[in-house]
Amino acid sequence: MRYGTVTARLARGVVLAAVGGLLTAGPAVAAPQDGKTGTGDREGSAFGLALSGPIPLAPKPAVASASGTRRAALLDEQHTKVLKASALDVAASPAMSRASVAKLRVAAVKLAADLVRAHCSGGKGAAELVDAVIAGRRLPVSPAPNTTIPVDLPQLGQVALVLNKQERVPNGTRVTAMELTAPLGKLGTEVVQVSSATCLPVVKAPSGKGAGTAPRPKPVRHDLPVTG
Amino acid sequence: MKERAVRSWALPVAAVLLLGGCGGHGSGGRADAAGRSPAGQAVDAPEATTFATLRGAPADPAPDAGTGGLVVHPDEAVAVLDRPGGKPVAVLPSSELGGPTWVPAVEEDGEWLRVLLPSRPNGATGWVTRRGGGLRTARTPYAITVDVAHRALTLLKDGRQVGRWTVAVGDARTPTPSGRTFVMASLEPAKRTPSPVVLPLGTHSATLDTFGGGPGTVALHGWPDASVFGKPVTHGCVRVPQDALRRLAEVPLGTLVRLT
Repeated sequence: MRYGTVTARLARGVVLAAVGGLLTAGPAVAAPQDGKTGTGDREGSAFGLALSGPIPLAPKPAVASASGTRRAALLDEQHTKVLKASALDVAASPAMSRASVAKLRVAAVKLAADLVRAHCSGGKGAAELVDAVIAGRRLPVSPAPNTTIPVDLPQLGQVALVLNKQERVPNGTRVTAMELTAPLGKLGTEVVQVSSATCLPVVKAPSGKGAGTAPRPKPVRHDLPVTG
Repeated sequence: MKERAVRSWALPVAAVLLLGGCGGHGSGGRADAAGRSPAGQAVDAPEATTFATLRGAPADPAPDAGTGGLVVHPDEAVAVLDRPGGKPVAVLPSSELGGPTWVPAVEEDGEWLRVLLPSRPNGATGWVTRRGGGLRTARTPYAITVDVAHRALTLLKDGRQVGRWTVAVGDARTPTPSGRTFVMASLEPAKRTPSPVVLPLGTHSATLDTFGGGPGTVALHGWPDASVFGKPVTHGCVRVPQDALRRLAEVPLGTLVRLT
């Protein structure tokens, strides 16, 4: 396969995904799915798949939460000519978020994984890959943070794969289980992110140890209209 | 005019619950006040009262979490900063609604304590310093949770349940807000009906900007008609049975209240 052909297939497939909505074909269950990617100061967030570069695709499915847990899932197979995945499942709360994508296939770069999972809790992230392979090379199940794997594909060029990518974001940590950066010729560089979760560090409240007991209140004569 | 403001004006007068009527504003929270910065300089910033809206006050970092029970009382008005050593966003007065100010500490950074504030927006916090000795600290063994969906209030002491009651909560148009807040004051209204004691919380209705002349403060209080318990019928307050009110009235000011 010639370089141009592979690039064209990759680009065409991504275009189809973005324009045709193929990545969102499956029904969302257990919404709410608000489309927020979640970088608020006090939010946890998660998404399953995202594309950026010449042909961007907003994170799908994506949730963010400043209080309580929000979850979204796309159970049906999501497929394009270059990317297939199923059972995209994400959940987010401020202190704990997770994302998982099953049966991932990116044929153009010979990438396959039965499961790609990211987990973030209390400001610490981790990634897990099950039966993941790129260009015949088996990938670690529990990669160390920011494991970079360069892959040279004759038809496509240098592809960079980062596993368990960990970033500091305002007031928290983002872990992306898999980030693939591939050249698209003259179009530029396309970035595919799979399973990303953001969470805040645990806030440690003072214990009160050693402090005296707070006094029992004495009601005061005072009137305040309240919301009955 | 915003929708929620219109809605508050549209409420029938008869529905307004004046738990004791419209009294004064106690500590005069609508005016800017002078507190002292950690360096002893006067600070002009809004008083952190139930009447104020604070711009720039950081949001509660963990609205679902509990605390260790540490509560804080300023002996005199103190500056509240947006972060340790940061900019003033408020002044915490030494009294709220005629009683002593007690607020819960939810985070610690050296000599700095992040405290919940009783002002809008809900979940407003700020940092005060123990430097200079102007803060009194104590520990409340109590915590209160209100499961709004199941209309249940639980009183915990040292982590153990010591009381649980079926209560009335806000209806669909004026729901009881979620998040964590605290018992801000203990009031005896001039009229003992519908409740001889009212416990205003440090949180507000999210749908009513004002209510009955007040700032939309949510409270725990009694109700003479027991048929309301278990129902979503209020404008945001939590109505509790008589024996619950008696127990709750003994809980120290500043005690954490988690509305879930």
